[in-house]
Amino acid sequence: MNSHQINDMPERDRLVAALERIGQGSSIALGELYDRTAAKLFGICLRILGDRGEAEDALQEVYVSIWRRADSFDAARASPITWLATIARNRAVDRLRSSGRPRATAPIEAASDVADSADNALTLLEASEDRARLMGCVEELEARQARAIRAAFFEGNTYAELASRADVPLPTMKSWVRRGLIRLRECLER
Amino acid sequence: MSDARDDEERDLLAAEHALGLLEGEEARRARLLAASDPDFAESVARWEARLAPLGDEIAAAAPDPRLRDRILAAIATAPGAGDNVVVLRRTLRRWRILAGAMTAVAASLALLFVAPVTQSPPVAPPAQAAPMLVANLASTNGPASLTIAYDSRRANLTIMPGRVGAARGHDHQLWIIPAGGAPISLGIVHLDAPRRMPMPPAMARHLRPSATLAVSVEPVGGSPTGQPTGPVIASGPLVTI
Repeated sequence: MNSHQINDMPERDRLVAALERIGQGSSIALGELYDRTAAKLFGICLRILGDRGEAEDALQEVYVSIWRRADSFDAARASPITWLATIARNRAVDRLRSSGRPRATAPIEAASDVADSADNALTLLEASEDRARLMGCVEELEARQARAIRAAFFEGNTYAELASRADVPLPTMKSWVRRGLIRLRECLER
Repeated sequence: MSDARDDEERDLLAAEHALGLLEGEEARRARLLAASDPDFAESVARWEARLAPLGDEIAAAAPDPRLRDRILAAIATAPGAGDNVVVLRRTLRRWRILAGAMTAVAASLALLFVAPVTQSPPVAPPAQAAPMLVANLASTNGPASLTIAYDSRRANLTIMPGRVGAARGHDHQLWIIPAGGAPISLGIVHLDAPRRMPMPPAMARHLRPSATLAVSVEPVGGSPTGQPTGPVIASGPLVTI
């Protein structure tokens, strides 16, 4: 494949092509994927871990994991950036759990209504319909449900941490989140 | 009725697992399900995809420019997708060359492992006919290391974990690779503390000085294929002491 063809490809297709080559063992393709995705995936790790050193270690684990699992990526079933971002978030959350560090003890209200600016190419790539729909559905949730789900997603909080931050009993928090998730699913499937 | 409720309960568990809300026993149960039940894994993946667009709000950030090289160096030694067995074979060849030099190291490590496991009767000096075998398992990629000794007279394996991360959401599986053969599972190992494992004769007969021991990362409950499917975190040859 020559560089003209690569340059003409939409971003999504480039990522799919890179993952395919990584699955065949191309470290050059991993380098290319890194150049296209590192800033986005590092942003995710940094947001969850809140520490650059930790986030860089997590990012290394993310790309090693991509290297090992690229052949299981199925472009027919998942969007490449969703697949990559999910690996990044999961690795960061695992790392947060295994560090045993207390994290995000500020009241929920203070932390999670701040929407970060998002202006990189990868964001625009999929900022499309899926995102608009999800945002619409999140807006339909009760404020406390939306806050809890967002804090879980962005800070990697557990139920216990969410309950403590919102200063409510654990079963109350579980019920908020579960009802929120059910409503979210219903809304997205409408 | 109750089926529908069960389905709903499982889908919510999948969502909670996808978000990372669970801890302790609930988290363990969800990980087990995700590793063993394709329908549940599919539900988790659907939730991950539903929620992923939230991540678009996260600002991109530039990591340290040196990280790129660090990662490319790490994958140069990491097993890639699907070639763990090849790596094991390669490791085996390399270790055979080093085996002679390793004997002295293994002997000194053997002294180390006897001390912490003193609840059982002291280990008798190995008789000529019933040798003690030791393997020092090192990582091909990182700090993982552990020492494993096989007492052929008692037919048990003593596992002394060194620097190995705890198995979180997966299991560690121990393999013996006979010279020139395919890996044979010796079972799931828990690398949190020194442990003894009895070796049934069918496994014990493979524990010979020409063989290599290796530990791979596998789904909870062990490799579904009977061969290593995940990354090999450490391997090393068995040597006689």
